[in-house]
Amino acid sequence: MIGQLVILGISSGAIYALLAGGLVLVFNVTRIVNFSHGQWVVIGALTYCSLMESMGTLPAMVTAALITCIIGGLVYRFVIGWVAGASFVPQVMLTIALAFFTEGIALVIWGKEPRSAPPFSSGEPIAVFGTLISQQSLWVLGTMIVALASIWVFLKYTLIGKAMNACAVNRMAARVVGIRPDYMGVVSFGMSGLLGAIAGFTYLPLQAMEYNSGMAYTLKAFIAAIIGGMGSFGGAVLGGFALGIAESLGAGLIASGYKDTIGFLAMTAIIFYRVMRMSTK
Amino acid sequence: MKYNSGIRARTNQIGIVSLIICVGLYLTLFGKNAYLLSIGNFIAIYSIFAVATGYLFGYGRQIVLSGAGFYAIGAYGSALLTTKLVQLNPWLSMALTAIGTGLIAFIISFPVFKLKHLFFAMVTMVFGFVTLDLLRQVRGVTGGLAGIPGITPLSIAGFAFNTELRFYCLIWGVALIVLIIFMNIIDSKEGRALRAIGSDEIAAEASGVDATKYLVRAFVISAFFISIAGSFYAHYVRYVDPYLSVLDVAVLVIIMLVIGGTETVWSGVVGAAIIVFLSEGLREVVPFLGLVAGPYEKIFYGLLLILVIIFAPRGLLPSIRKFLYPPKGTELK
Repeated sequence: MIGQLVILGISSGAIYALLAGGLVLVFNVTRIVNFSHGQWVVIGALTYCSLMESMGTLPAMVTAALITCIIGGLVYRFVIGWVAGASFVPQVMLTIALAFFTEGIALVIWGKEPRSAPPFSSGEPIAVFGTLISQQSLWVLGTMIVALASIWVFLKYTLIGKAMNACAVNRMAARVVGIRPDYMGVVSFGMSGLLGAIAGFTYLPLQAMEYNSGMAYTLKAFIAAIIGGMGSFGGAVLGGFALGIAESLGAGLIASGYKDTIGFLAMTAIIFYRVMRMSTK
Repeated sequence: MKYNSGIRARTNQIGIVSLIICVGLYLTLFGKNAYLLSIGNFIAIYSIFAVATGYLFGYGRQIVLSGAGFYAIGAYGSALLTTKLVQLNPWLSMALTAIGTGLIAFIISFPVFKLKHLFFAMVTMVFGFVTLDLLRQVRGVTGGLAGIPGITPLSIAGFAFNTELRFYCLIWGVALIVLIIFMNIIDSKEGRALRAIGSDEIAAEASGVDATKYLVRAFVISAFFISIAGSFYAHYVRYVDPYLSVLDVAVLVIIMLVIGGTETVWSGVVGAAIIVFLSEGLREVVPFLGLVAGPYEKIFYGLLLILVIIFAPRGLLPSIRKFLYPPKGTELK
């Protein structure tokens, strides 16, 4: 029972980890707290869903990921870039406005029905140590590991990745050595769109999505990122797994109605723990 | 300070007179149409909500998303005190609920105001979310998803405000009183301290303003009036359920404030009117054009908000006021 719940938690945790990773990437590079982050999941998943039948699974995935990535870059270039130097309140309001706007567009394009997709490989669940793991959960985990590992390699070993790191550490100094923070913002938004879309279509066979699912994923990403320390990529990934497992255990052992409340209260407890520790130091 | 209080006082006088004219005009033009009157009633309820939220959001520059929670407590408190638990007088239950909500705000403000920016926004949002979740889950008291029906309408000395027209007159009277109260608070010591904190918290503390103390007071005041707005909602619709104020309402109110402009009490009223008219009006007009109603609502909110933030970052009203009363001399950036 508990083993089964943990396995369930790990597969939703992988999705939260991907989302929180993208959120933290954007936050580190641009210092923007993106409340429209969950919309990438919806755009990616629903685009994949529409293209899947005509194009086949793999081409549909690549196209959906590329489209979301390009939309992400364009959104920074033409909308969010306007408030790059503004204070916290207008930045947050602009991203909330964007979330509303995308939700409306998604409703016009895809309608109100929730959509789902068949799993990537059909077959019996695999038994490991007496617990059953569905094959799609393995796909989710595998995709997450590949995606996060490639992001890590990108940030560590390519020139653009290093430039993004430089922006995260010190924007002013990065400009002095010839890095354009605006350009890095575009790249980071594109990458967060890519990660979100990947999370969207790999999770779609397990969880149906509709036009307004985005805000819920935004909140999960925030909870995971805050649990992980809001600013550390690895912390966000761990936070995602912790949130997934805590939710699934809470829903299974206490009551399924309290699933979201458990995540929120865990985040609140961690925020206050950090604040108390900082004020006593 | 950018605009001296003389200009603000003049703006407020013009505002009060034009609000009374607008409300009266609306009544004489649409007094027979129950649907349009109900739109007017919702504008008034949301105005109270938005003005109370705007006191902390606009002047204190804090992103408070707990409004939905206080609104729900106000509505449920009134509903429970007049129907299920005890049959109190509606006015008494409204006052008790508002005081109770103020106390709750006072208690949670101690931990909450240790936080800044993102964490403050997230934790206040958690408060609203958890409140609504509890209303759904504690079925014995709140009726769960079914809600509480049959709430008594408000009445004074046997005269019940049970029609759209009667409630319209009552609620706009209340909204006007709340506006005047907030105008006075903003020009008092409380409001001056809050404005100083909003423009620069560290500078305000350096000049001897205890930031936490004044933020807590502002939080309690705003919770008190949001609860009153919730109580009026409960006695107007006479039915409450946990969907009356999801997160959307808290966000919607902030959107109203940003569109109206955050540096005047009038932004609440203007923003509420724009949002309610856009959502209801679009529902009326857009199908007439041969399109589906629902989808375009959110696109319009989103687009309007994006345009306002980019092209009129101080909101619509301050931009208009700046056009009417251009600041004299050179302006410090």
